[in-house]
Parts: sequence; structure tokens; C-alpha cells
Amino acid sequence: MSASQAGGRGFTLRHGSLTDRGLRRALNEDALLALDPVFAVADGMGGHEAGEVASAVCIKTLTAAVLEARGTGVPLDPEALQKLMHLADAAIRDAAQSRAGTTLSGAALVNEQGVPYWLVFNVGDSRTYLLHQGELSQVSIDHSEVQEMVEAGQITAEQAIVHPRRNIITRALGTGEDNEADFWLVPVNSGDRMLICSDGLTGEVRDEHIAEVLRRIKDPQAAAQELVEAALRSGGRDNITVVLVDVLAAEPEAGAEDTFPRHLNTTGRPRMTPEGASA
Amino acid sequence: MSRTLEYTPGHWLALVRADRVLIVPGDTPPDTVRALWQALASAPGLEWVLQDLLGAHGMDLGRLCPFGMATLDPDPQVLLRGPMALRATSPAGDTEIDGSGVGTWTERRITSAHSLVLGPVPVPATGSGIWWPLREGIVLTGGVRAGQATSDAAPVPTIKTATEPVLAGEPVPFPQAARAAGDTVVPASYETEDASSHGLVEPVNPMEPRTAPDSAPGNVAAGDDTLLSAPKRPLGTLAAAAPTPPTPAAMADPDDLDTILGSAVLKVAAPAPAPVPMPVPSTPTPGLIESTPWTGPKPAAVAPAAASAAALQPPAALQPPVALQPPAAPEGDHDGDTLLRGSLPGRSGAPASASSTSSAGLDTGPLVISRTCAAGHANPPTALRCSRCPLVLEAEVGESARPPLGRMVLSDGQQIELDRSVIVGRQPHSPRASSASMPRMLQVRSPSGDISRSHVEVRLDGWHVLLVDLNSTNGTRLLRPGQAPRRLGTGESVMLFAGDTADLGDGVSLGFEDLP
Repeated sequence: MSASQAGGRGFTLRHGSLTDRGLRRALNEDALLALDPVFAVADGMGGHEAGEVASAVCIKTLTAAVLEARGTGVPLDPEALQKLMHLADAAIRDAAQSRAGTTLSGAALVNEQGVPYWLVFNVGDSRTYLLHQGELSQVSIDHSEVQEMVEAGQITAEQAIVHPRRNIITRALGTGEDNEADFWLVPVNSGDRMLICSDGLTGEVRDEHIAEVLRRIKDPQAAAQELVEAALRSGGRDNITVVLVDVLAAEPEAGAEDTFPRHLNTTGRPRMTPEGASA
Repeated sequence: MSRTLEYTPGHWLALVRADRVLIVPGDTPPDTVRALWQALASAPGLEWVLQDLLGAHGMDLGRLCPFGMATLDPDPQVLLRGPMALRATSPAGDTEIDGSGVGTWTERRITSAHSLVLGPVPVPATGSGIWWPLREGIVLTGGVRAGQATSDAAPVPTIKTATEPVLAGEPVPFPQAARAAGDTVVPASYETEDASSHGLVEPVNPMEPRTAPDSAPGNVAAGDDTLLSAPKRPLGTLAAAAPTPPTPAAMADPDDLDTILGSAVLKVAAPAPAPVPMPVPSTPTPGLIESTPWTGPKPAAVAPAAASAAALQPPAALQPPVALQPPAAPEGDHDGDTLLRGSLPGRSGAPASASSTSSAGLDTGPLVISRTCAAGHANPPTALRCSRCPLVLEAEVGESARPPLGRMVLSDGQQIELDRSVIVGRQPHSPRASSASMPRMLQVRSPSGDISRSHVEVRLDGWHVLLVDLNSTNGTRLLRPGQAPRRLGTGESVMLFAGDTADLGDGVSLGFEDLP
């Protein structure tokens, strides 16, 4: 009927990623996953190391499932991802005795009626953006108090950016409650760029500036680095994590039958040196 | 059968165990090496070893170290990442596989390999340099080579197995026999390089949480901004109480916060000690954010599915571990949650989305009011006879999972079962949805561009199927037998019946069959 097993995708993915502790925090409680076909950012919260544990457990749960899905060839779908998040939720509560939680946002490449789609998912206030034909749009919608205020018409989006309660989120994984994710299906187009980031980026760098960087710097790793640096320059008050995924028109097949999908970045990538960090 | 093994000294760590070889950088932390050593013996396959290696790198593929791993069976499986290669001799000739230039890793299986050499690029030549025999253990090496599979009966002078891994920073233990025999020379110890000592940003390694620089008792944990709040809490409640221009001193008083939020949780987040001067952004100093305990929402009385949800997720309390209480009965209120979430007056309980997925049976739709037959088939409450079998329906009306509401047949012959809503268009995208309510995306061709990207939705609503125009540019025509064609207005929705056809233009039409 429909749902052809997408053997050759007709495009390739290329990604870059970077996480930084920032300038104010003693710990980096963010974690990320960049493992084709799933890309995600988790921003842990909770005292001491609990937040770190929460985000790490979340990402670890996802990773195991991605590797398994790659092994069995069973594609991910919203229900499978939602189950995974419930699993992660339980695992985090187990690991952190409910003293911690984590956000999770990201995108998974799925097969929708035989056509590749980005399945964007979100719990909390990390974000997934899409740069399509040079236009940046926020795909995920925060689970946060200020977002609810914006939707209720009580404050404007501009006011939300500086609102004192902007860091209060309404859903998270690991707390046992209100952990349902929202999902979006977004078409995959060559030339598109997905940005997944923690609020350490969006809290410091305005969307217009982010869009400018994403348009200007073609290499995903270099662009990720520039975004992190921009967040550090404007204060770096939180952990900053950026994952960028580019959809590129297919190259001629390079006989990569027994090689996992090819992306050309990551090995030996540069690391940030936050001068002036209070170390 | 096993292969004779030899290694040439170098700066990489080779772990050889259970007919598997794993080579990782020499600066791999001891705990990681120990975990990998265990994994080599216990993992069902190399993928599991890889997963442990990934776990040691925070599950971040970008941070994953270069490695090479191979099985030593007659058809070796090989995984390579980074500047690591394997040269194999097989009846098919010599092959060399290189892990360089691949963002993930390269995986290959070589059929009936006579011999192989695994090592960092360039793979050492077998004819030159020093090669020491090896059976099992951990060595500093520049490459490991495996000869043809031989019977174990043919003894080769080998270093006896070290049963525990040799760890960085510790003297390399060597079995006395081997040392006495003098058949090998290995550096006694080596230094572990710590990336952070080079002034680099410490890599995030969630598996090894770093300790906060200032972790004296009484000090609050590192700044922890993000707070979880109850959904739909009346804004006035907290906003009024929120300390206005906050100072570190004010925020450090946990009692105030407890009063404000009514929860004795996570005393978090005094600002970092001695913050460095830095450009001040145009935003006001964060208020509550820097130090508020985190309160969570509590869905008071939720859906009928609450029982199973509760079983899956026992009440979780955010409170000091000492005060943890056994989960209360699901039907009762319990103090454990009060500390975490239930403390705010005037909050509304139910979360925005109560997803209801059915557990058993073939029907996978959401719960709908229905009348079932003796065989358990759900039917619309207005139906008299079961649509799927000859049985008469029971009088009682209840909730059950919705079966598919018929089929949609495309002009190209494709059929789609209506168990979910469907969005049809040139390149449709979905609105925000829960996992249970996510519609399908159906792309149709539109050479002349008549069809909008998200053109029309076939929406399942209870027992009804609706055709909803999604503000399409050129609209949709509804063809109903015996009636004149009718154009849907912008955003209009109509109920569909079996036999209806929706014409989207550009030769694309949707026919509807077996609707209830």
C-alpha cells in the first residue's frame, strides 16, 4: 500500500553540535543526542547533580532505542517516541528520586505514508526551529508559563522574552506528572536546517540573530560554535547546547552499502574555551 | 578455534577478550576501560560494546572517541571510527577499511578472513617492527594482528591472560611467568591525559557528573534556573508574591520561597560565587528564576485511564528523600504530592492533554461513546445492528476504543484506512498534536500547483468523518451523488458520508467508503 521502506533517502544529513557549561554555572546539565535519525537536546534541572543525571538518563534511554530501532528496522513514530519518553520519565525518577527533571526537544526522521518527515517532539522549553528557504520558524511550542500567558493574550511575545517568570516550565520528564510531549510533522526539504537548542541559547540570543548566523555560516559545526559563542558573549548565564542538522541533496551513491549514513563533521571538532569563566 | 594474536607496542589501548578486540585512545579514562573490559566479555554483540562506549561519551556521537573493534571469528565483524583501519586478507583478496571521514562509524563484515590487522592509520605493516604474542588482556599498542584461525591445541607462546583490566595510571601488572620469560616489554605505566587540564572546556560527561567547585554543605547547588510549575495557575497567585528586583541575599532566603511556593523543595541556586564581569544584556536581572524552588503540577482528578497511569507512574514527590512516603492509594489525596505540586491555592487540576489510548483489542482509536455487540465490536450509539457482524447491539452505551471509520480511496488507487485524521496536500505539515491525536500526512502531486501545501483535512471527530478546508488557495469541491457539486468555503468543514468524493484539483480526488 503506502509506507515504502525508504532505502535510499534521496538526501543526506549533516550535523554539528556543541554544548557549553556557560559562564555562570558550575555544571553542565544539558545533554544532547546527534545520532541519525534522531537529534535531541535535554536540559536537566534539579539540585546538585540531579539535573545532570536527569538529562543524561533521558538521552541514554533515547540512544538505546535509536540503536535498537536501527538494528530492527522498526521505524519510530509519535506513539513509539511517546512511549520512550515515558520510559525515560520512569528511568529519571528512578535515578534521581524525583528530585530532578529534564526538558527534551528534538526531531526524528520518520517515514510518513512513504515520505520522509521530521517528527518534532517537545516537553518543556528547549526548542526546535526550522530554517526553510532562509526563514527561521520555531516549530516547537514551549511548555512554559510565559507561553501560556502569550497564548492567553496577557503578554506579548516581546514581553515574554524578558518576563521574570520566563523560566518556569509547565511540563518536564522525570517528575512523574505532566510529561506528555507535543508532536509536529514537518516535511523534509533539501537545503533545510533544523536547529535544536536549550534555553541557554534562546535566553541569550534573539531569534533574528540566530537566523542571521544560520543563514551566514554554511558548515553546521561552525554555525553551532558561532551560536554558542554568541550566547557566551551576551552573558552565558545558563548551559548552552546547540544541535544543527542540514538536509543536503543526495550525493552520488558512494557504495556505502555497509556504512552508516554519512555525515562529514564531528571528529576532532574544536572545543570552546570560555575565557573568564569563574573557574 | 581461535586466532593467534600479536600486537605491536604503541600509544593506543587494545582490549582483547572473548575473541573480540577493541582499540581505544590511550587516554581513555580507567573507569571507561574497566566498563569496556566487562562489556567485551558479557555483551551479546559488538553493538552493545559500542553502546557502552557511547555511554561513556554522554551518548553524544559527536564526542565519541575514535575506535576500532573486531570479532575474531572466521567472518570478522568490524566497526571503525576515526583514524582507525583494518587490513584483512581473504580469498577475495586484500581489503583495507578505514574509519576516517565518517561522522558515525563504519561497519563491515568480512567473509572468511585469513588474517587481519587492526590499528590506527597507517595500519602497521606486519613484516616490520616488534610484534609480541598476546592472548587476552589490555596492552598499549599501535596495532593488533590476528592470524588464521587455528585450533587451540597448537600452543603459541603467549602472554597469559590478565583477568582484570589494566587501568590508566596503575602499573601494568604482568603475570610473573610472562615477565620471567622475558618475552615482552611494555611500559610499566602511562599517564592519563585529561582534556580539561589543557584549558579546554570540559566535555560534558553526564555519566560522570562533575562536582560543583563550591560544594560545601549549606551552599546551594549550582544555579538551576528552570522551574516546573503547575499548568494554568492563576497568574496573580505568584506574580503578586514574586520578589521584585531581587538581590542575591533576598533570594538566598529559603523560608521566603517556601512561603511563596508552599513547598520545601530543592533549595537551589544562589547565584554563582563571584560572577565574572560580563556584558550585561538588555534584560532585567532575572527575578525568581535564579532561586525559586520548583513546583510541579498535579492533575487532580484525571481521565478514566488514571488508574493505569498511576500504576505506571507512582506519585512522585519532590521533597527531601527522608520524607519520602509510600505512594498513597490512587483515589485518595496524599501529602507526598502536596509538597511538590498541590500547594498552590486556586489552581486548576487537569493537564491540558489527557491522552487516552486503548490498550486491548484491534481498535486503536480514542475512547468514544459507543454501543458494543456481544463480540465486542464498537458501534455508534445510534446504531441498532453491529456493522461488523450480524449481532444485535447491547442496549448499554459506554466508552470504547474507536474502530477505523471506513476508508479513503485516492484517485491513484491508494487506500487509507481512516483510523486517524489525515492532512492532505502538496507538502502537508501537522499542527501541534499529542502522540494519540497526530494525524497522518498524505502528500499528493500537484504539477500545476493547484493544491496547497496543507490543503484539506479529513478529520475524525467522534463517530463522524469531516472534510475540513485548511484555508487552501483553490479550495475543494465536494461531489455527492444526486447533488450538485459544492465548493467548500475557506476553513469550512462538512460531514462526509459514504460515497462522497472530494476533488482537490490537479486530478487528485479522495473517495470515501464504508463510513459509519
